[in-house]
Amino acid sequence: MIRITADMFSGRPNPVWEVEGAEAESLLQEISRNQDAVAAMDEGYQGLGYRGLIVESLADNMSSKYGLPSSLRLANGANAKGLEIGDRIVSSMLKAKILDEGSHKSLLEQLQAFGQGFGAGITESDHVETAPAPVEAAAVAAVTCQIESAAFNPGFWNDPAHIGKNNCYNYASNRRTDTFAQPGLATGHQASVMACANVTAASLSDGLHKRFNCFPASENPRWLMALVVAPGQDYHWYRKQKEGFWGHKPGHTAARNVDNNNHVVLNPETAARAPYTNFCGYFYACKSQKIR
Amino acid sequence: MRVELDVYSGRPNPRWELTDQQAAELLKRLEAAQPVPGDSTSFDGLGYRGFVVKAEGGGMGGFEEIRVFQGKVVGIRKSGTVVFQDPQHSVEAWLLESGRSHIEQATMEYVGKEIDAR
Repeated sequence: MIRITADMFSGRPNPVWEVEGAEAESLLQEISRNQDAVAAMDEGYQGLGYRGLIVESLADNMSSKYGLPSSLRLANGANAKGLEIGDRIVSSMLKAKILDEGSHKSLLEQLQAFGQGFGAGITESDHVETAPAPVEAAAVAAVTCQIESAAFNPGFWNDPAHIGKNNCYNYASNRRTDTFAQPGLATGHQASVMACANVTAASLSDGLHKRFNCFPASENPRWLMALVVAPGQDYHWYRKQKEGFWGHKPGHTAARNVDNNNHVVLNPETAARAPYTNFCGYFYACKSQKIR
Repeated sequence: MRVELDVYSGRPNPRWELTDQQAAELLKRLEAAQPVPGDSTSFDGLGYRGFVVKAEGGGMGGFEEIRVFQGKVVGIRKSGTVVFQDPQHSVEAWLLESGRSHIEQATMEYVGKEIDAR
């Protein structure tokens, strides 16, 4: 899932469009093929009025999959391809009723102005080329489930603009919603008691599966998660990373791959977890997971 | 003044406002604390991570934020930080008590034990 913000207002909130599925994939592929059109967040025109389209990935594996930074600006300079992609996005935002006719017209005029040289002289960012995350198989007894894992990417989560707004559930689900997400909140089944059974029920309600209850390929990415509980207090989640260890993010603090004893988390069942004494089990996240 | 008990990972941390009387009491305790050289102690793993007190307009002896953890009180202002000693952990224990009606029993007991143990 990606979030596109038309950065155009000063006082009121900017129009925001969240795109998922094939539409998001197609857009990211197109941006990826046209790296010259990509600007860093602090590049290009930064004054009053339209300042470009901000494209943000809500998952930490997207940048490596498409060779793009997790947040970028587009169509805020004279790059013709960037303006063409921007034109397409702006039209889609009108169709999706994110923009009204007036804002749409104003944006098209601004894109045209950039095409005519306004804002010329901006620098374009370099891009990073990294391999996509591989698929791995997890098997036990007669059941084999296909799952995915992503490379450990703490920088995506520890960005000062996002670190305080995302918790362990965001991290383990690999969805940077900026809402300090709670299991069950999106589906109306939040846990009122902090015990394994209750948090498990809330999480299953959001669409997670218990381990070895396989998801089909259409639910890719299917991350492996582990749930622990501090009885009567709180819950905590971990996510299996491509490197083989587990990553996690305690509340508003930094994402990491070590436990309370500063040891790399190779097994969440035996990791130093302070008050989170109860290990509840393993789960799969999925593409259709609801999270808020 | 707004107090946050930094303790949870998944759920939002407990937060509460101090009454005027409690705020005056906290300031009195801070004034009595001795500044010490050196850095503060911090922990950002799972479990108890201390208290954060914030007041708008620098209404805490010029500090915008105060962090209390493991016998140290750290005052933060634009010009820098000042570390005070709280050897008996009395500020921590007092802050915990001030939030009793906002903190669930299991967390109250857990944090109380953590403060006593350090």
